[in-house]
Amino acid sequence: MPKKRWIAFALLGAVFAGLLVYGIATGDALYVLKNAQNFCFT
Amino acid sequence: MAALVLFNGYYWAPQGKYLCLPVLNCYSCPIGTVACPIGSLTTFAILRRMPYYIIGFLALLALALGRGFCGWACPFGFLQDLLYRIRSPKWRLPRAADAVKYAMLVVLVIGLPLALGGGKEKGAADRIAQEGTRAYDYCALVCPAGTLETTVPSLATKPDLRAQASWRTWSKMGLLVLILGLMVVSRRGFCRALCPLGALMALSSRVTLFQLRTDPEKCTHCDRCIAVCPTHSRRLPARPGELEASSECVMCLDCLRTCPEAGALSAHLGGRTIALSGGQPSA
Repeated sequence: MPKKRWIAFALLGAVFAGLLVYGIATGDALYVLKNAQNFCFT
Repeated sequence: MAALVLFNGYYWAPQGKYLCLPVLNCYSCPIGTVACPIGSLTTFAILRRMPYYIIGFLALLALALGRGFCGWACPFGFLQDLLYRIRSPKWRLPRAADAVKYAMLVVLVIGLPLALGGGKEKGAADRIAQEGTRAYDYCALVCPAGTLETTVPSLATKPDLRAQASWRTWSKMGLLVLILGLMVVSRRGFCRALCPLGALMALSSRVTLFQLRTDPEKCTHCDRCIAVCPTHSRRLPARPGELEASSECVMCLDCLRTCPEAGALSAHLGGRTIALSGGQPSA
């Protein structure tokens, strides 16, 4: 894979990893879990 | 098959539901292991809350494997592969049908819930807590995974629910029958035309680490790879070394297994060759 492509990939990966961490810090992951549990028919 | 068991494990179901894996598996089903990314995105749209976690999670997976999840891990993809084996007249969807799933994603999953959900100011969070997102979850009205994994078992096991079933329930059942019919006559027809999750993952096809390549010097243009492609997306590259990044390719690697020419087709993960056509071991 060309070096430019690796750099672009690393930058995109860093941005998305940042979004993921920010989302976890702001409680998104817990909200996703709560929402999924609310939806669950038992 | 393994994915079907993994994503529907009763005993580990409660632990995995904070993961929005890009597979179509209803999270309303008590044995569903992971959260539905489409349902979760809709909820965030209703609340008018930016889904940082879902975008980050899905985008990282898409960067790594692209639509490989559609081809290798989606239980609904597995169901389609099974149903297509039923003997019946087969039908190829027109190319224009590919666009429908993008409309589903933009209109049903994001647009309408965002526009009509009301957000925090209008008490959307309280309404969701009290009555769920049903009123604004337009995708759930047409989702065959939800109907198959939740509505059908609920109606089958609970007579009181059967008595309360509305026109909405029966229209969902009718739609499910139509979509199952589509799966019998058109290979991966649902993936190609209707799956909003496929539309979301298709956006990554040009940047993902998981890529297919053709060596034009070894390719004999027998077109077997084109004939075997489940999504009818396979095409030979116009220039040597050109990426074959079709947004409809689910990376099932059927083309690679069918190709008789040694090394004419290759699958790469992050620049590393992981599989070669013609039964050659990877480098």
